[in-house]
Amino acid sequence: MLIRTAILLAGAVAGMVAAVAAARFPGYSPAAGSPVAVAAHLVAGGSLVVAAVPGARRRPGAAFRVLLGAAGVCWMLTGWTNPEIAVSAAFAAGLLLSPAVPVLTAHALLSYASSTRTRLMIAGYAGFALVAVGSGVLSDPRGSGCGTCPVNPLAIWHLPGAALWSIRAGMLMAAISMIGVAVVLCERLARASVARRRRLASLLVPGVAYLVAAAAAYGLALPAGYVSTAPPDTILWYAQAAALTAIALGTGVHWARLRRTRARLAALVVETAGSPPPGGLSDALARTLGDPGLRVYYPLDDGRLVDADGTPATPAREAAITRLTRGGALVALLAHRHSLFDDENQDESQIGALSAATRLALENERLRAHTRARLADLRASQTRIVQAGDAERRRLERDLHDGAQQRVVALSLSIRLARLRCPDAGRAALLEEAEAEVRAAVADLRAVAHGLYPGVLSSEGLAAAVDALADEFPLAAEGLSGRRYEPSVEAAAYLVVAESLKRGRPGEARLRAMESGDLLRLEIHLDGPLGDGLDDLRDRVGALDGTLEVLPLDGGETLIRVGLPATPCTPGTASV
Amino acid sequence: MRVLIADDEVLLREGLDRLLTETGVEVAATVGDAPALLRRVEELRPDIAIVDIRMPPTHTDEGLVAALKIREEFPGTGVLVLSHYLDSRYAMQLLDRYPEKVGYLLKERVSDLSVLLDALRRIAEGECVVDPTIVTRLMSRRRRGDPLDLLSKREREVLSLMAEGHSNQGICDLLHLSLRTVEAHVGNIFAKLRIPESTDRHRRVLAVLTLLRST
Repeated sequence: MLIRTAILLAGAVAGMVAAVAAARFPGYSPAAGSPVAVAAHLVAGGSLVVAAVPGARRRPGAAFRVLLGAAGVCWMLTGWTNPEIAVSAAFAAGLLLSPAVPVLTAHALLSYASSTRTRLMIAGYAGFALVAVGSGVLSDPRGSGCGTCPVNPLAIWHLPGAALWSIRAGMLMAAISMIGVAVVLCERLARASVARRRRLASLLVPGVAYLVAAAAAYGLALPAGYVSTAPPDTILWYAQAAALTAIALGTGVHWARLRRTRARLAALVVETAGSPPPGGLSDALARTLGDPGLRVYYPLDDGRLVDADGTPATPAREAAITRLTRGGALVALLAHRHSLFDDENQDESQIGALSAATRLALENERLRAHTRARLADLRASQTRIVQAGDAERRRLERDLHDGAQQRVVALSLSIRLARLRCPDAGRAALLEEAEAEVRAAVADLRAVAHGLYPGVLSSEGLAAAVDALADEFPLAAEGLSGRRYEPSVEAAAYLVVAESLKRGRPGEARLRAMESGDLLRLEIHLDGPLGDGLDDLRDRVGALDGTLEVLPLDGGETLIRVGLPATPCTPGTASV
Repeated sequence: MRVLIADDEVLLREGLDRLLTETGVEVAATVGDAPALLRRVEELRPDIAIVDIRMPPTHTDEGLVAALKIREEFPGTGVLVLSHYLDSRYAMQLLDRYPEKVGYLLKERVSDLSVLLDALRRIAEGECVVDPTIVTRLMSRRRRGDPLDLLSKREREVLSLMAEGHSNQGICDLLHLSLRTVEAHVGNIFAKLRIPESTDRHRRVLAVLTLLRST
């Protein structure tokens, strides 16, 4: 605040004095040649001073602003080297400090470009010092024939020869330093990323222009040791005034961009403070940053990316990716359009501010995404276990039918043949017994195989398999269409019905099926209690994201309710 | 009687071949899969093809599909399907489309010579035969609005035996009833199931079909 006020005050005073001096004695300096020149002089200096003020502590940095403000003030002091200024201290200040403008500006620009070139700056300041000493300490304008000039209290010695050489040497050093800084700035611009270059250019391009003009002015003034009030010196002076004004405007543009970004981040903080629903952060960021396609992705420990719902997702190939990190660890990825941050706020500090603004909501959503992804993984693994079990059951069923059962039937044939050819009645009776045993074995094998995985279930589906159950149990079923479901869903539904009937041993059972949308609901009504419960089937149903309830009713009856996802079966997977 | 045996299990095929030959049935050929079965049937025109329901390549119901094809293309050849399944649906699929000259027995029935031979004979005569175990299950099934509910216990017994392929004489032997009584029961069954007047054989097939369809 203090620096701000000081700069403003100094600028106002310097400008006012310069304007008064110019009005009283036009024609002495380029700045006093005409009302246009006065206006250019005051506008350039004033705008630099104003540009140095807003948010002095914020980027692009206090050093830059102080230097720029000082340059602005010194620029106005060139108007004080006016014979009509009357105040000798002001006259001396003008003589001493006005040569500081180029080196202060160069220093400010280097600081803005985050660059330090110590040797160049030493040369610049040394040049300034030599010029200041030459014109302010080693020479007295009154001694040089300026009768109206006020006394220069600093003029200790009047050594015109030494003063000229000091000024010349200073001008040369300053000019070389200016050119050097201009080259450094051009290099900076050339090497910067597109986005950064666009941002830097608003200041550095006029800055380079100013430095070149200032260096050229010194170059022209080198033989005489002073800047004349005639062209081409005046043209270069106007060029410097214009370039300084442009630098000030560039600062304003930078500031306006910062303001806009900060306003958006503030809006984001407000929006995310209420912990948006899953996916809400993506939407909030998309709105705040003005990119409808913006998406947030969260990395899992195994390297997969998931969205806010925990569903594995991959950013679109053409999207630009910005990594949001905290403490070096990747927290989230933003996928957005390429130009999103380029226009206004793409640099590390902006991403940092974004992370900070959304930190809580981001962390919240990331944890939720992780939990959901983990749940989905668990469910998938559970489903795989059930499916592997089903596949194994089907394989066993087939093996029993095609292997064991066939062989035992063949064996019964052999026994039968042996019996036909057996002359001994006693042995024939034994064989007959064996035959009966073998036939019973076949029936047992079939029962085992059927219990494993009824063939009709895989070939014809749930309705047919339930219909077949009605052959075996007193079951009245209604509501099942011939619709096919995922094999695991069909198996789960069938096993719940079959096991309910087996364990319930009901006198009478009713099955009511309701297929609504993507849900298959079954109600099995037993007229007795359920023996062992259905806990083993609960896992199977749960793995499919289904529900299973066993409700004991009045009078010892039991109601079993099953809800299963009615995923329609994709052709080709049914008849395994 | 000339039969053809289709079963992919060599042991079973040969055992059945020997058993039938031994009991005086002429086995025209044995084959191991459905395409060979259809080829040989066309070539040899046997009286009956004995077909295993499970055959390569999928081992599910290839035999049933082949049986339907035989009944459609070679009406002179009857089909006896040997099944691994107690499920009545396959029997239903077969009899519903071609109710005559077909039989559906459980696989292990092949060693029960009397049932097998009786079934072959009934099929050759144009009737249909359903495995006793399946018939028993069908009969015990609870249904609503079932025409079978109209039948008395005795009539249901008689219908079961009809479905298993027994003649009236066979039924009266099994139930120790007089032929006249059995004929009366059969007549009642036809009336209660609203089976129209026709040849006796055709009516028996329709009665069995009613039993199967009521599932």
